[in-house]
Amino acid sequence: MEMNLFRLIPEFIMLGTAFLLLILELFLPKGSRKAFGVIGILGTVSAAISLPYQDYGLALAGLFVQDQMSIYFKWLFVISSVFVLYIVMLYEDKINNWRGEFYSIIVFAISGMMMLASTNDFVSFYVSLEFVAICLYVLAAFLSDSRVTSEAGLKYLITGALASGFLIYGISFIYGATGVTGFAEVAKALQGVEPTGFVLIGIVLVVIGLTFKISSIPFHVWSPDVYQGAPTPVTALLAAASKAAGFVVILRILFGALGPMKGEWMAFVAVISGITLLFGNLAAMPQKDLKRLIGYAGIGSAGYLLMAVAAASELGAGAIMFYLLTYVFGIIGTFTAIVVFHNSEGSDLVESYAGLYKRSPLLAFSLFIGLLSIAGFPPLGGFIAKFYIFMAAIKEGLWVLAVIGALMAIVAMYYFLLVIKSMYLRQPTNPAPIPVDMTTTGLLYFVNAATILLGVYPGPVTDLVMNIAQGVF
Amino acid sequence: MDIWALLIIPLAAALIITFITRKHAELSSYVSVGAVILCFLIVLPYFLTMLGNPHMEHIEQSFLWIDIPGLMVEMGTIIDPLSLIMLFIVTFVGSLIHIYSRGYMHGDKGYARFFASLSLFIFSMLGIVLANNFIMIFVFWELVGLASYLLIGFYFEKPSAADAAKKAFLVNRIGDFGFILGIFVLYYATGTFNFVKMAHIIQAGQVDSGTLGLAALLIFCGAVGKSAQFPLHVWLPDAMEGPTPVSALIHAATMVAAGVYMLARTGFLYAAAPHEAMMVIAYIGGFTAFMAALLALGQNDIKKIIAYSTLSSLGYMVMSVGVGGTGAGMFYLMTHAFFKALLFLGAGSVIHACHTNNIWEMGKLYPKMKITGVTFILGSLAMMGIFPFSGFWSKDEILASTFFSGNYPLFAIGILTAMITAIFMTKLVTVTFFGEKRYHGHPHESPFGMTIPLMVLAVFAVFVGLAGFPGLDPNFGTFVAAVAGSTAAHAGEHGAHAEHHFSYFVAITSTIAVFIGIAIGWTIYSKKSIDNNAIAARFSGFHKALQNRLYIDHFYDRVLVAGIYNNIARVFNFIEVNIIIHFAINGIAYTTRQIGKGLRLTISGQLQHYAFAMVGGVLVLMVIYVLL
Repeated sequence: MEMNLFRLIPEFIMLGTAFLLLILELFLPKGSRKAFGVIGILGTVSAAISLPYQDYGLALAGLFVQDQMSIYFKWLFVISSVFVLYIVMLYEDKINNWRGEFYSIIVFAISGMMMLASTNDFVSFYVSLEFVAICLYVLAAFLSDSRVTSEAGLKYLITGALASGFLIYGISFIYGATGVTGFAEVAKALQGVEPTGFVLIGIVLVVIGLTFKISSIPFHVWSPDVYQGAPTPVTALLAAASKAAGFVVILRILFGALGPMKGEWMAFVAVISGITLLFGNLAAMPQKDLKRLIGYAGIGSAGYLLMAVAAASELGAGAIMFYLLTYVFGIIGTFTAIVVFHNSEGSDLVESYAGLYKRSPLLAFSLFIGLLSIAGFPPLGGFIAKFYIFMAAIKEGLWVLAVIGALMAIVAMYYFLLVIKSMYLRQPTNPAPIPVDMTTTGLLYFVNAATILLGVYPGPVTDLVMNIAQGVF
Repeated sequence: MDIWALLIIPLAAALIITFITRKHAELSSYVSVGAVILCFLIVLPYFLTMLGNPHMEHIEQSFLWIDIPGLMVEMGTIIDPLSLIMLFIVTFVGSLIHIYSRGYMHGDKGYARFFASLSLFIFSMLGIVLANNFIMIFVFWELVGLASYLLIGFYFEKPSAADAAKKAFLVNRIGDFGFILGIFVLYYATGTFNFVKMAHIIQAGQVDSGTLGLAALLIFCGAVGKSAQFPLHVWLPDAMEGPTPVSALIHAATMVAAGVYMLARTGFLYAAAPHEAMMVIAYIGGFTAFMAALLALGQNDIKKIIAYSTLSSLGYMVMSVGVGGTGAGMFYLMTHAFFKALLFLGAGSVIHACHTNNIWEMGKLYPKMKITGVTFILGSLAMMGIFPFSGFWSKDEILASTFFSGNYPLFAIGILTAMITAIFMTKLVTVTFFGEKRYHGHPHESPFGMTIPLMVLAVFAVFVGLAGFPGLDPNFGTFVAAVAGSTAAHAGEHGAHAEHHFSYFVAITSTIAVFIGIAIGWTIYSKKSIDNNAIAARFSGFHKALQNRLYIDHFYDRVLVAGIYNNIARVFNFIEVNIIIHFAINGIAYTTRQIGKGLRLTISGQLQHYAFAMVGGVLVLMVIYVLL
């Protein structure tokens, strides 16, 4: 029973930071709220600093594993964390009955996601998943005096609970069939055996349960409402980090534990992917609220990512990891701009973005880059990511999905173009410039540069993700 | 490395203007103009060397962009006669139009933004021309679309301009949908994106002809979008909402020709594709040429007339590719770039003077604007294809390719199109520059900054056709036949055969057709022995159809867009109103009240509904799973 607790140092740092914030809440005066954000960011940065020093191997008697993939995803989480905490600092004036827990719970959620990236066992997986989920339920409903937010939180909770039920039920079937819960042991037990009915039911239920976290059908219903209704930083957290957490779990469970059964779930995932692609993108077309629009577009993105899952290949796994990195940057840039804009204008409606180009070229440019990257426009990072996914799908002969995906890429361009047209080709109703402070300006430049760089010079990252993907099955 | 400079310089210019010199209009224009002229100077020595050595080997320079197991993508350039001809056109015509724009756009408040977009366009266009593989061409293909979007929507105070920009972008995306799928099919079949490698694999017969036919048609979709072929031609006339120099550079001389260039670049594919696929391409081209010429007849806006004539010319080029005359198509592309840029810039000069686009509010401008008038007439003669102007030679090669490949119906369409072209060009020239004075105010000749490019272009519009003079050796056909040793030379026996033969029969037939057209135009619009209103009244249905663009746009707007988009919107609105609002919002309001009272949560209709929907979804998926 090797504990190897040192392999969980990044998680411990995050948890420690979260507890510290909770305690400080009691002592720090009300006026020093921004200090919470700074402490949270510093904690996250310390966790990030510990990442390169991690060695690979099992921890907590095999419940967790530290490997290249977990480190990669932990990087995604710390990047998301820093930006989300920063956006909260910009946003917090909107929170009327403000409480320090807001920062603390975000840090708790991130630490949970880090654990998810390292899970190596159905038990630790389920516990980590619920840990993250409970944090997110609270965050989504945090503005307790806002009806829309309460509604969003409630919806999120109910759907989440239902999905969780399917998931645990499926896990129990798999445990019943194999008698083990460790991912590696499950894979070993399933290697070369004919799938029994128990295993098949287990697979179907687990796949369905996992669709909640990545907001694909049939558990997508929460996402537009929650994206629109939740406090904007929480939406960013859900869109970027939470989706990445969902997919690291899919890589661990479908590719890892259930990898030997991939013949049984590939076609099933492909069907889910196709319907999700169609639903998310078509439903995004008539949306008027930018956050809600991104919510639907996020369903569409889940469809693309599932396309790579359906390919069930190393190329597909690499594509997922690359896509998520570009997606995190796209979402961060977009939501930072949305928060700054909302602080100034108090609206998230697409039409209120009219003439933003004249009022704040930087905000307009960040949205332009972020949205176009998510839409997969060359030469931005999102283009390479989508292209990568298409190549993975085509290699496995998933032509129907490729055609649907290419068609939906036009649709995506349509609805994002409405935002861009509003920003660039419309006259502002109120020509007053929107001020953007220095730090935000710097961060936006950084995110935009990263998005462009990932498109222009993807080589180092593609090498890295392919290297990681080699061990995924 | 100087080849890469062709991409770096215009991109740097666009960035410098955007981030540094934005506030200084004059300086910004110098940056942009300087960048494109610099590019021209880099291209020129290569181009001249190529003229001396038409059988040059292609030069590729590339580096790996993505290199992972199972997927290798390079960024690379290819220099061969084909790309050099195109580089020459883009940088030379581009330089002239940049210079012209300094005068034309003078005093516009978006002056710097205009030049930044123009430089971005030059960057993207050169990327298309230089690309040595499909992914790179696709990337720049999209960037060109973006630059075009910014430039069409330049006068965004006008909602029509913003709408036209959106339409152009989205219609192009529809074509690109086929394009990217075609690229995937080809990659699947050959395992490479590189043109030269792919050509070797296809020429070795390793790909079956069904796949090639499918790929050829899918790739062609990209050209249908960018080169505005039927049925995706609808964006180009609307694109005239952009400033006139943009129309000249992007929507006449270079970008719209990119589709034809891409077809020539991927000529190895079309040479190997089955005959049926090629006929689809040829007939789409022929139909576009004919339809657009008819549509041009019904227009009274000077830019719209030229825009439809551009559509018609593009149709000609595509038809030529379809019948195997890729070299002839490229030759027409080159001559067209000069005379069409000239016509557009001449139109810009006229618009600058009269402040209207309607040719019926001009008239008798010739005495006031001699330089514009003379150059415009020269451009028109070239466009109509009268001996010995440039259009004569290039049109003749296309008609000859069509005739000798045995496509007599297409040949007839070509001749007929030439005649109609002569009619509306005669109308355009006589109504605008001669006849009665109908203008208001005091139009005067444009400044030298604008007329000098006109004169230079006029010289080329007149003489560049001689490059195709059959007695000349090496002539244009030689250069293009040498294109990577793969396009024209392999373009089917008929095509290759036709390109080296000058036919008196074809030349005389087309010349007669053109003179008949001029005579008709002259009689109606100048001599007025036939009243054009009487004709319009006689064929009122047809006339109305022409003025309404044969109702194709109506069909798209009312049936496709309204039908599909509105129904999608309706379905989701229904979901929104009935489910979200009714169940969710009202349900939540109810639920929160219930929670407040500490009552049971689960009786809310909304929650039951949600749970029901999800469980239902799960059951459906389970069924799907069993069926799979």
